[in-house]
Amino acid sequence: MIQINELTKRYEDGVLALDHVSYRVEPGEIFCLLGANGAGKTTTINILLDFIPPTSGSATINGHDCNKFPLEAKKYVSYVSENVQLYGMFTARQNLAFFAELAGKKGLRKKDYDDVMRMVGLPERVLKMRLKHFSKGMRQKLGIAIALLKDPPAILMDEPTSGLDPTSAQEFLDQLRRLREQGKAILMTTHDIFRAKMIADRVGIMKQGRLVAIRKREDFKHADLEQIYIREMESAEVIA
Amino acid sequence: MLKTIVTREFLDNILNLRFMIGLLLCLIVTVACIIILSHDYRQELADYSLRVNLQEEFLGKYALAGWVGQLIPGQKPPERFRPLIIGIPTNESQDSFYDNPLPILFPSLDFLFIVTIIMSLLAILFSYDAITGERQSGTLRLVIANSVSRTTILLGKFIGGTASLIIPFILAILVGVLYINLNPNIQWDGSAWAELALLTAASITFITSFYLLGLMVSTFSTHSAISILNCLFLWVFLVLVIPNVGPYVSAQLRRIPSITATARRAEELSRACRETWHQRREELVEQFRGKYGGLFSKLEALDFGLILYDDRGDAEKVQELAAADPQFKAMVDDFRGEVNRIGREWQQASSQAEDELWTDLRTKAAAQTRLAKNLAGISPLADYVYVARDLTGTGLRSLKYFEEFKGKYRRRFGEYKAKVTAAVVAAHKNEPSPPGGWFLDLRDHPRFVFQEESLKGKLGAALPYWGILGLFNVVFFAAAFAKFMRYDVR
Repeated sequence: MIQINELTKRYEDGVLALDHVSYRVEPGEIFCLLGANGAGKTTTINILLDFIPPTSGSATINGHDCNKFPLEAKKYVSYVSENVQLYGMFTARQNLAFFAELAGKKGLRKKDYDDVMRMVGLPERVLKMRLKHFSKGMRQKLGIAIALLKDPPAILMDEPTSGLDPTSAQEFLDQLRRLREQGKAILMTTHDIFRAKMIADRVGIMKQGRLVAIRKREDFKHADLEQIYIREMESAEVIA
Repeated sequence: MLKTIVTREFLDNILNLRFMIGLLLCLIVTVACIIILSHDYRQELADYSLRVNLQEEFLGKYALAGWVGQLIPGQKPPERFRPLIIGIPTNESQDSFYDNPLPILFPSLDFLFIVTIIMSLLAILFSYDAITGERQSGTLRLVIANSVSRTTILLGKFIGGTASLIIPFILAILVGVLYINLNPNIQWDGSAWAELALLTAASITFITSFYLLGLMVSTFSTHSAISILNCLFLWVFLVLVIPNVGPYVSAQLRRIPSITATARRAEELSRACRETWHQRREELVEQFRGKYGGLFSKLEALDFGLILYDDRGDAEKVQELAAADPQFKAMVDDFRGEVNRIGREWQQASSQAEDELWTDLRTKAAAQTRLAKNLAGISPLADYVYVARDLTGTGLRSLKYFEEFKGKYRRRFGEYKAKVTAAVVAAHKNEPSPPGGWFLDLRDHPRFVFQEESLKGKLGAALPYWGILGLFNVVFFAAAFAKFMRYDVR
């Protein structure tokens, strides 16, 4: 569903953000990208969403090249950012309606909104609340609601649990599991090794633009993922 | 998709505090402006009627053939758009300054002020963060993450933003229309309403150019604070600097002498011609002394003798002597003919030199004005002012049109006066003309009724500058588009 082939990104100032990175995220899979700041996790998402062009290599969603046919590729993906910011003067429902229309979903009924709010754990009454009164956790949930309304086969999440309280983070993980069950391909970047271990089917460890390791769930299910992460980072340093 | 973006942009703007402030500002300023200017218009109408009546009264009492030229009517009525736009003052004098100096000390509050200053600033305030604001808040990423092109986003922002900006303006205009309709002193015909509609359309073109300027600057900036600073800099440059510097630069590039200097030069030329005439006259006297000897001395001995058949001094004596002596008469006639000839030559040379001087000044002044107008046209404000004033008959062009209209009327009046004068002279053919000429009965003289230039003519004059305004819109949008296509949304 999401395919990254030899993806490289060098910025104008010479910084190499991605260095020949390749991996796939299959339908019904949660792929977590781990790495320190500047490792290239967000750069991958930026290229997938055509915010920036790659220097070389390719990224495709549902077979559509994200750089050559971005509008086509983005039909099949939703995006949840680290800090979901919506239109503060609009109500939750107006925000949902706007992004649903952008996703090509028109004529949604009240029931559709109520259902999606229930799915993300927000009470229906907040549909009438303006976004400026929402907490960060509520905004994150609404961001997921927007992604759910679009109902695409792939979802990109950039540090989605950052700043969430433990309860909200747990609810969020439950939601991710349900999405996986629906067959969504989920690419999630995170610093949070603890939650990655809980949810990921595979993890990719990135360091300075390189994908230094990919580990399957079986590899870290009964092991300490943090130790694996540190070990991989150290060995990558030795090789470098 | 475009409709979705337009609707969101529109709603987001009208829910914003700046929309309410803009709406209130437009309504308050428009109502204040129209009330004040309507009051002025009423007063000017009364003054105009008074001037017309006084002129009729003078024509009835003092219409002597020799004076009528100074009494020809042709008063400029107040412009019909006076309740909205202050025209170019034609009778600004020291007296009017002493009557009420404040309107001269402070900038005038009229429709043009509302559009060029208030609306252009509002337009920039509506658009300076159209892109940067969304980038900073993170919503732009979320929007672009969908299958929506950047062209659609930019176009949607332009249409939705402009629509929300135009609402306060249109509401203010509607209030103005209502007031004009209800005011019995303001009688507008169909063409005036059509001009108002065109003025509104031109104003919207001007306002959108500033909205697009803000949008363009927004795409070139990464932060709203930088964007607003750049916008304000450009606003000052386009609204205040260029229109004011244009005439100054033009004056430096095409220098012309002042009216006072030209008048002085004309006086010098006239004096030089007069001196030449004196010299020629002295030579003539010497020539006649040599030719006629004692006979000419007889003429010279008379007081004012050389003035000949004037009605002063010894003119009668000259006539008597001429009647008694045919030789003396022949000499006097010869001398008179020569004096008249050199006099005519002097008059001709003097007036020709003066005419050339004033024509040269007018030509240079016209060229300077043209250059100033074109230089100022680099600013959308200047182009809009030209369009608005040409459409509403409140600018330089309308003054020229009025002068031409008045000139035609003067010619018609001149023909009428010639007929009346001929009839009066025929009636008194054996009587000497009284000083100042015969009294003329001009009760049925053709009345001066000023007719506005046709809408077609006004539109024809306004269209080139309207086109330039449109071009500003295209250029600003094209620049915004080119930049936004590569805009870093991260």
